[in-house]
Amino acid sequence: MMRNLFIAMLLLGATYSARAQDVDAVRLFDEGTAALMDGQFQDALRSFTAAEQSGWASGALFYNTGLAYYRLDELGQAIRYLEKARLLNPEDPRIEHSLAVAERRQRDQFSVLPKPFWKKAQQGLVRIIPLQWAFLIGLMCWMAFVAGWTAKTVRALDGEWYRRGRQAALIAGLFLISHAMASSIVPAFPDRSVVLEETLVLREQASDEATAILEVHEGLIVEVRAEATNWALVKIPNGTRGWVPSAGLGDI
Amino acid sequence: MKELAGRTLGTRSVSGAIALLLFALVGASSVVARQVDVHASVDATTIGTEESVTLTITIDGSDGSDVQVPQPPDAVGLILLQTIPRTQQSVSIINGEMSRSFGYSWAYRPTGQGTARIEASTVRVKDREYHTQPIQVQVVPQDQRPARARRTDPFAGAFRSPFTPQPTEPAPEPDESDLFIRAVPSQRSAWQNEQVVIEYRLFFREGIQLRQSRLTDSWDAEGFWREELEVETRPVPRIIIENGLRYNTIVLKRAAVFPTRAGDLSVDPLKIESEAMLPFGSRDPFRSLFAMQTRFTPVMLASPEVTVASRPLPDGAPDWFNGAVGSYAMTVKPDRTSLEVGESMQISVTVTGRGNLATMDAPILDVPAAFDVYDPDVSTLLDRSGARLTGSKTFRYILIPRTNGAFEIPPITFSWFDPGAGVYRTSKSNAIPVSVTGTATSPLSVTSTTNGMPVDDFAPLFTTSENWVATTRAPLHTRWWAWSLILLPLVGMGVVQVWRRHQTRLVRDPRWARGRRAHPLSRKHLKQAMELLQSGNTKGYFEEVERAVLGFIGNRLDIAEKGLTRPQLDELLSKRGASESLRLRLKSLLDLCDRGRFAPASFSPENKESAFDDASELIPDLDEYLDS
Repeated sequence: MMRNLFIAMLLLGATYSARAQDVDAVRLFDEGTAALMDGQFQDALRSFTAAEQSGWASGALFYNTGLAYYRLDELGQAIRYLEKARLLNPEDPRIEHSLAVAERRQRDQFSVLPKPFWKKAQQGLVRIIPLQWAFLIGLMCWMAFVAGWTAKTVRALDGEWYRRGRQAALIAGLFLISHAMASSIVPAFPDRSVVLEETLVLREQASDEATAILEVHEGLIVEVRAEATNWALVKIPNGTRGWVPSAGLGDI
Repeated sequence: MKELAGRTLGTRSVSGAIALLLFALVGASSVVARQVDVHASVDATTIGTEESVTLTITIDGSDGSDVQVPQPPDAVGLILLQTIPRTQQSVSIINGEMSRSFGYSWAYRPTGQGTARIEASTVRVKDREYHTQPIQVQVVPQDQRPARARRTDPFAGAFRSPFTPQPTEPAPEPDESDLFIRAVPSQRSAWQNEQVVIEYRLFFREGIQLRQSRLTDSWDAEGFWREELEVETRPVPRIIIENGLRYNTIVLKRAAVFPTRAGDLSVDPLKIESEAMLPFGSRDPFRSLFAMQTRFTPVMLASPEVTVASRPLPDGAPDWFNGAVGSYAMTVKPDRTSLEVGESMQISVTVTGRGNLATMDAPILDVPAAFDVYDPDVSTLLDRSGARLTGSKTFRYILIPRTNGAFEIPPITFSWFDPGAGVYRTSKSNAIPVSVTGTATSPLSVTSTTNGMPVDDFAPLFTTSENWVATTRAPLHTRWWAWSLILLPLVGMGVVQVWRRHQTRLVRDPRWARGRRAHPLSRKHLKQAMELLQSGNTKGYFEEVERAVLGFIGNRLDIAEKGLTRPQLDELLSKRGASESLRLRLKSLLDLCDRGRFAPASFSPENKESAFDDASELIPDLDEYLDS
């Protein structure tokens, strides 16, 4: 019975982590990359957008999309896609470098509010163990505990090391699964958007008539805290909140 | 008093060359060819009761031929000593230009202490009348008169032999009214970064000689950006009447200062150290020559401190404002608009005007990302010769396209604050279309960082892509299978736990275990019965049917069914509340089985199977009855 359970877990993990590649997405990526190398930025964007709309994406696809937008002088879209690329390839030096270059052109230089300690811990954990891997490993630990318990119950397989192993598997499994589910419900990196318009005015209410708070500029990354019809309540890095037209934002 | 022949002033620059400049002022006084100018002056504004004061009306630009001799001005507290004026005439040639001056002098004597006044006078030159200003003279007791040159008849020496012995005269010393520096700011209040011109003028009475003059301290203007303006290297003194006294004046220094912050900001005084000699009471040239070395007196001159109230620029500055204050115009000029990938083009942005050009930042150049832009080469051309600092500042941007295509350099915008109008102004150029052809030979820039990344540009593109992920993936917590995978082991644990308890009860509770076994055992016997029937063993068939029924009852009632008689069995079932019809059905079936075992030939195949059907129906009925 334990042997069958182990095989089932392996199959489950392999299925979950499989990197499926879509043929059409790869073809469109290649076409877009060729157009990008030829300086045909609009053509490149058409191919990259079609690849994304096919339901598949990759860090390279997002990076090249950001590069095409940058060449077309659309700073907001460039930063948006670079951030998307970074989410998929967090450690890639090319993405980091290009993102730094793009952000240097961003006009708004706000001070950044410190994050609460638990948020930092959550983000650090997500960076170390991505959500899907946390869930998978946690699930395996959880099943290992169940298998150990079953062995003890059915076969009376018990002893000091068995007991410690079960406890460790239970703690690790519950922690990792809780972390994965909690981070899925409350993301470590909250919903972020990029200002796509050259200038957006933050207002106290979701109305063009409301009092203006301040102006933000293209490329600024904001947190979306709430949404109303055609308006979004955003928080800028220094903690200031205000309503802006949703059309002026691009989600990451 | 007499106009001395013009000795021009020499100066090379404002700071260090003041010595040369002032040393050259040996008795300098000159006039400049110009339009007719008439003014009145006295040789002293404070005199003793025993002294006299000389009034001179000077007509510059005239040789006296066209001047109608004026009447001596009336005076209050003074008595005119002679009605016929003394005349004097001077001619000077400066830079090849001749100028003339003609003067009339009268001497007055005070009638007593107090404030005396010489009234205005009217002079007619050709057909035009000129009016002088009234002059006040303070008359003090003789022993309280200022310790300075004795008031003498200015023309007395002209008729005296130079070889006639003269009495020894004390060396006169200049006072503040004889020699001073005046600082004249163009304005006392200014916007931050607005240009303020401060002019330092040296005023000296006619006949005063200066030598070995130099700056004592470095002139400083903390809180200001300052630019020196040019002054004349060979200045010609201008004659100015101040408080009735006749002065020569020259510009020592002119500086444009720009307050870099708001508040009251002070400019240090301009200080010079020199040796001065007042004119002798007599016009004796020999005395002057031999006594010069001993009659020079060290003097220290300092201008007053200048304070400028600087106020911050008003709110509402445009986004492109970078601190320029003044009056400007901007021109933008590209050197080319068609080029190949990797070639360079230059955009020159020139800002011309008056203001803080030196501290002005470069306008923001927002170019397409396909271009590398280098820091602009800045050249500043300042014109310091005017009354204010003007000039131009040129920013030359080098652009190198990385890719081909048709691009457009967005309009360049330059904003500045106009201090005169108190508003911000903006100048905007036209967009510059740029056509780039060719292809890049290398994806990497020659200017790359240590890790191979291009400086100030994106890293190269990705040519291949791996690790594709589905973009339509829903969040983990919304997936049913995720929760199932978490909960399934719990369910399994529950099942195992139930099974474990079942097994334990089977071991620990034989009666319960037997009851649990009853029904399956009956099915087993019935199955065997059917097999016997199909094999033609009728006797064995009925035995198995009977065993199935009786075995079931024995297991459920936990009794040994083999020793039971039919009445005992009926009684037990009756005690357990079995209905009579059920008991009759059981009795009928058992009778049938008995007959089948002992007379199997009397049964047709249909009758045999009816026994099986009866048993199959009876056992569940008994099971249900006994459970209840």
